[in-house]
Amino acid sequence: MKLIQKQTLEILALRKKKVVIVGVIIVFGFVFLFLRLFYMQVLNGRYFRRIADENRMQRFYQKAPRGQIYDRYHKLLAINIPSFVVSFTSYSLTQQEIERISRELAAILNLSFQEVKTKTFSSLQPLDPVMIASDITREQALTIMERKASLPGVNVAIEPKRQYPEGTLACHVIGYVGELTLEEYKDLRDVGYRIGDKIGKTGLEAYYDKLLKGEHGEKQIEISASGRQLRLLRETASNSGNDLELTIDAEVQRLVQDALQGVNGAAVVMNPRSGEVIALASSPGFNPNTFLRPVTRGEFQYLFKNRGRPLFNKAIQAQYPPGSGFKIVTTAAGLQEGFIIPEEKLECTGEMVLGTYNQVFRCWKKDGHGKIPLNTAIAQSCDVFFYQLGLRLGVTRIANYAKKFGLGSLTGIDLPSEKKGIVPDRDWKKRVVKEAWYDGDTLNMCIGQGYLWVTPLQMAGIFSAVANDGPYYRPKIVKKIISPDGKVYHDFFPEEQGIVELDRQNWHTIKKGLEDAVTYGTGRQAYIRGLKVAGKTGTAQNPQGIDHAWFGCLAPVDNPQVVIVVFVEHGGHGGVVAAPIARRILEGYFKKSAAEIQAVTPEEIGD
Amino acid sequence: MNRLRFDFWLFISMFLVCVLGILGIFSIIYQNQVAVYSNVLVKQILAFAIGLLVIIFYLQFNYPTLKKYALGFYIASLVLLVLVLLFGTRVRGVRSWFAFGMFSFQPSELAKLAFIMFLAKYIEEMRTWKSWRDLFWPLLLLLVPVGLILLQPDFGSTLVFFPILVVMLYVGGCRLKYILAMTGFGLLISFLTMVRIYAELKSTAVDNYVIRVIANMNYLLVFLVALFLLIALIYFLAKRLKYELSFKQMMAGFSVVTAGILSSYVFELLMKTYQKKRLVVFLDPYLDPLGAGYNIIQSKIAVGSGGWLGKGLLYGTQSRLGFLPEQHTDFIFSVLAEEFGFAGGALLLILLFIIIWRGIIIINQARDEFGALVATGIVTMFAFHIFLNIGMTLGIMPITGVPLPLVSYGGSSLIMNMFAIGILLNIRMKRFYY
Repeated sequence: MKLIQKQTLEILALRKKKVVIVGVIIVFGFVFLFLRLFYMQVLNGRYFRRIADENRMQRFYQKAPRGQIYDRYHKLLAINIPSFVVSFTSYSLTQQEIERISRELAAILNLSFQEVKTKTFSSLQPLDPVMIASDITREQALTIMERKASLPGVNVAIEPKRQYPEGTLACHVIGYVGELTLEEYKDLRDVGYRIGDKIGKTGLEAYYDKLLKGEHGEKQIEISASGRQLRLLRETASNSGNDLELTIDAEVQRLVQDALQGVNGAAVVMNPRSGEVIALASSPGFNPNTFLRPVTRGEFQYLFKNRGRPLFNKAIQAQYPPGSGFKIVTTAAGLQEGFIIPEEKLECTGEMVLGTYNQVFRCWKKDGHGKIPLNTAIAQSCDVFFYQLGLRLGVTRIANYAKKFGLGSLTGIDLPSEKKGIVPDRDWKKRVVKEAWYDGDTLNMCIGQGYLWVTPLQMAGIFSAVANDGPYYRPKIVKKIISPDGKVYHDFFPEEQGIVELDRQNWHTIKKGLEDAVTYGTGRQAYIRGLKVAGKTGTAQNPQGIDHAWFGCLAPVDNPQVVIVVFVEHGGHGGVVAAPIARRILEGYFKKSAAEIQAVTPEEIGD
Repeated sequence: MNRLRFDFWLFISMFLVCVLGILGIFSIIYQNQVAVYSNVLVKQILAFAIGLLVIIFYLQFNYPTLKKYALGFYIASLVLLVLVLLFGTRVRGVRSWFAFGMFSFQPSELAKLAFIMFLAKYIEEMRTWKSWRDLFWPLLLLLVPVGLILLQPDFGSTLVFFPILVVMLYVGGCRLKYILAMTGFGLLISFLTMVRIYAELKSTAVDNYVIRVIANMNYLLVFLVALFLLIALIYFLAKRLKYELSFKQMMAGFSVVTAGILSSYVFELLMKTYQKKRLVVFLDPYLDPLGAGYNIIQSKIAVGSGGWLGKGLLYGTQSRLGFLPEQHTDFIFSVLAEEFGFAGGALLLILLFIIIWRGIIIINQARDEFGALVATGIVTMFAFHIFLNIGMTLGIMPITGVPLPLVSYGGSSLIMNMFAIGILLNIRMKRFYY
């Protein structure tokens, strides 16, 4: 009896030990489950919560109409037209069903089955709609809507689509929109851009994109796993973008573009009193509507391979030496700094010999101009006269005045990718060319050649300063930004970009010289009877080929209303090529506002 | 006297766990007005009430009487398993139910308990363990019901028999080396099968050298390499420990490994593609994101999105909107974890742990070997089901279709599990009666 009891106790003790081991294993199991639960719910709860929300919510976006763009007289340049788009959501459809739907859609849309199938199967998330085709015809849209019953998951919606009714008119100013790229999306997704959005690629469309694009409307609908829509969780209406009212006058713009027809070049027409850009053109141009549909081979060749570079806005991006137009700056420096007086005559023998190496610098006129005063030198654009003046001034003063006229820095026009040109001086040459500055460089610079680079728009700034006797205004393309409710969101006032402080009689001297240049000098091609025009030709020497032609002017001299700068790439001589284009623009512009000229004329007579 | 010995903790925990389950089912049927769910709540509450009656009724008896009926119980369950194959209702290709109008009965639930009781009786009567031949009968007791259930075919329900056998043999005094051999064999099968299947499925998705090699490996090669490595390892270990390994011991080890490898090969051959996927998809749900992986992905989202305090009863989006599959059966833990958060999930885990913990104490309090072994079997059954089911919902265990005891919907399962709790209560209450 005792033995059995002892045995039993031993067995019991042994069993207890084993049970403890089993218990320990089980406890480990529970601890593991507990920790896993903690890890998922507490440590990663927010992550899973987000996924759960993505699971249950389907978002529908209502694309906002982009703001319209119109000229100063409200002529529409960029508008929105309704277009039909087809999207597809796969929900819980089976593979076979999706294939059948794809086949039917392909037949309706005249697309290949493969093409449609790739798209219908491209959505990994069964609740994310994928775009099948945009801009389908009305008939196609109606067919799809009629067959809705056999096309589950297919949705036709009307979305605003950009259109440029005037085609090439002001194409470089307005720019165009295109599909948001993946890189752009990564940068912009936090500010409300979504895949599939259009975004401005160049011009005003790009510069003012955030104001133009508006806000998408959004509908969040709770759905069941089978894709049934249960209730509306949240809805926000779309907000259209802001409209842009431009300073551009479409008629003048048309005139300028016609005048530039057939040349590679640019022209700027600006109001010197305010900096309002009335026309800004670059030639050749392009039709921005091209970018709203698949680009054909021929179009691609033209846009990207043409030597005239149609997409390049030469008015703000082309940088070339200004040629004789720069003599305005040299004159201004010489007069104001006292290195010359209007009465002083300097001799031009047709060339100037410089330095120890007897380097010869020629005047464009081989025989020379003889002994002439400043006024004649400007009118005849005598190079040797300005060589002498330039040597007196030295590079530093010339460069300083060039900067006062706004060269070497951005004008700040509201367009993207503006270039700022170059105003060389001793430091610049040492830094960039790694050479010392020679007097020969000064001679080149004072007549607007050599290292000096300007854009046509910067040249317009120089003529504006002359027109205003000192101040010149920051060029502006947008006059007003108008919010969708019709209120003026922003109104642009003239903003002084800089001021060149010269004595009044010095401005008078310059203006007289420029006027004479048009009346009987190098700019005669721009002469118009009855209109006092002050202008200056320019020819940018091009060691590689044909010279570039410039002409800049302001008119009427006594009450300047307009500044015009024309630039023709590889055009040859400014007076021959650019001036006639300017005259055509002047004629057109002042015919249009003939009434205004007449109203001014009586006063002038009395003056 | 009786009242004092009544295990209040165990009973209350069981009661609360059942209530939580009913709450979960209530939430599901309230949210989905789908015909499939009609009556589900009523039937579960009814089964709960029957279960309570069964417990109260059974507490009037003395549990050793079970010994008398164990054989009959076991044979009856086998007969039912045969009958269900002939007359059972086919649901989703599985013939595991008897349907009586509105009610249905799953004999495999009964078979588990019958197996535990009969095995306990057998082990108690055997007393001493002389050689590995003593394992013959216990293994046969297991293989008959398991084979019948596999014919249904219901793979998930058979799994629990194996740990029950091993743990009961262990506690019942079987020699450790047999236990280790069996455990090693089981783990080897699971591990090898999973690695092979995972590599096989993954090799179509990624171009990884190692994975490709494993997926295309010749089985004989694997076997030889494994054998060689094992010999080297054991030899090395034995040397280090200055322990002389007998030839017999070495051979035993090799046969376990060989058997494991060969069985996993047979396993793989027998399994259908969808079963393979279910087995390994928890390792990488995106192997099959719309098929087997879908359940795991959605369950993890449901559990995780519950956060600290959950979304509130009836407000679980994953369950309410139907993203979560098999809500009232296999994935009911996900529903509760989503709606009651970590607070609710942890509470449920703690309650389940109390049940297990009380069960373990009862093993040691049992007045005889039989009671201790029955309690061991029941505890193992519960623990295994809990780990497999909750592990599955948390994405760390394969999908086996094992329900969560006392919580998942299912009348037979609930009543049988409550009966099992009743047996535990009885073992404790009657521990001083002789």
